[in-house]
Amino acid sequence: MAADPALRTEGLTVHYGAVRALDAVDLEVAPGALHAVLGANGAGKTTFLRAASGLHPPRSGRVLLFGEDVTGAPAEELVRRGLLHVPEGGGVLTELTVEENLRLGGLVRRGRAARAAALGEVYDLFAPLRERRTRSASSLSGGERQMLAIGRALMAGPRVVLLDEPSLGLAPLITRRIMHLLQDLRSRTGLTVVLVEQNARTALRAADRAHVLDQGAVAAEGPSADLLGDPRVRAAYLGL
Amino acid sequence: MQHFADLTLNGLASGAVYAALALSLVLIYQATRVLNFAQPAFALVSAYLAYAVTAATGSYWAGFAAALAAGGLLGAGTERLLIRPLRNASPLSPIIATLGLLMVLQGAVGMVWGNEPLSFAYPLDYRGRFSPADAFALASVLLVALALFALYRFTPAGLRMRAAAIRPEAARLSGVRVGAVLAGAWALASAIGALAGMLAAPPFLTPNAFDAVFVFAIAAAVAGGLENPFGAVAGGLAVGVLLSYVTGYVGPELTALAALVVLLTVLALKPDGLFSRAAARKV
Ligand SMILES: Nc1ncnc2c1ncn2[C@@H]1O[C@H](COP(=O)(O)OP(=O)(O)O)[C@@H](O)[C@H]1O
Ligand SMILES: [Mg+2]
Repeated sequence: MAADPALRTEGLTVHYGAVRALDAVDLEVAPGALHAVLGANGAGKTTFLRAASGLHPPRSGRVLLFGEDVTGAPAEELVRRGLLHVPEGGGVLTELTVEENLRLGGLVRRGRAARAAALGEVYDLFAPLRERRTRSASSLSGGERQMLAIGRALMAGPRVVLLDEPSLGLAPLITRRIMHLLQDLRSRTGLTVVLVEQNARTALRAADRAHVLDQGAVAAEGPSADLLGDPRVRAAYLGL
Repeated sequence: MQHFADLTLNGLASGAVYAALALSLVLIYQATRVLNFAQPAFALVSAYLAYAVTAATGSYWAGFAAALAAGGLLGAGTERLLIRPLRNASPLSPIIATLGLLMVLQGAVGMVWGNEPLSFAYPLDYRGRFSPADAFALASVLLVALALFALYRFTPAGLRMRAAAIRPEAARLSGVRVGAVLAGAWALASAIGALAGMLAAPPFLTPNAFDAVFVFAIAAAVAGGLENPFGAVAGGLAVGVLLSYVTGYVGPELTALAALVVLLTVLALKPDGLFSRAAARKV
């Protein structure tokens, strides 16, 4: 009864011109898992997410979403199949209000009622956003902006969320709150989360399993506890 | 005093035409950062098609509808076939491409319909000061501006358009089909440009009929701020009224010069347009 993995990549390879930024990455994320992708700056984490979400077509390899081959499908179509990518920095539209950002995220849902219900749920999850709903998104703090970015992804009713360094530039306390929120979300809703982080300690505390990328290739993988307990991995890749 | 009132009303009526064309330029600029020099040619082709349809059916309004549809198709087609492939080219490329399209379309119109003036009907009675035709021009353009405001502010389509224009990639990540949305913005803008053509065409249509109108519209768009639809409408009406005063009090030979003076003054004092806000957009 082995269910299809929520997300699976096979030999995913990406080039920028002549430079190979991602080298045959195989990765499998079980449904409902919180999976970390770690690595130093420039290791290829963002490139991996962009290839998986359809923003950057891979040179070779495949992307499977719940067993279905979606290689080459553009990002806007993958959103409709439940794959949501929250880019580095959140990709919040600062020219729009908080609520307009959220409504934008919900536009792929059918029906006004479903959109309104999703909006209510996101506001329940992120109270500060409800208070600031009519304000410009540019007035938000870094943590609130990240909440807005995650909230906008949730508005689409995702099955898999890819998060690119949500803790970047945030205070440790805020980061911890966001990690708790992600854990809570997946245990309540069965959401699958792929979490890209440079900050290995934070990510491994939250994640079940992780991949470590080094120069575009998979350098290590396994359950978080194993990676944390492996002195070679700790020293070479996690900076712990 | 009577003369002043007449000049003002006439200015508003012709200003409505500049406003509509300026609005079409601004909508396209907002969506894709392209100044569409082919816009008057879209209006021209649309007006000539309207002429043909009206001649064939005997109905002014059938021609009117055909013009708006033709404008929309020309806009969407140009975005898809000419502008989108140039997305990653130098900023000069779309300028050259739309200028080229302007000449091709103007030439084609001359070949199909000839260079002799064709007599073109007004939508309504045009006699008297501030005639029903003048009122129609002003009212239709104000209505369009109002409808656009409602579209952008309150509808899902408007939200998609704003998102696609501001941050295409973030919009895609929210499921917005950016390509289709931008083609839609071009279609909408060019239908509004065709409306300007229908209002500007009477009483006679020639392949160069919209050249002066286009110059005034560009002046209006720049004066109002290239990113500001309301600035475009206000700028168009202001340019219309101002030029009407110049024509009435000084002489018609100075109108084009006056438009140039307005343009240069605004560019010197407020290069982002009269209605620009202090904060520039961050990309
Ligand atoms: N758009 C791009 N063009 C060329 N090279 C790029 C581009 N984006 C990233 N790279 C290169 O690809 C490698 C991986 O980058 P990236 O995926 O952003 O790493 P990470 O997110 O792990 O910091 C880096 O060497 C980076 O310089
Ligand atoms: Mg990165």
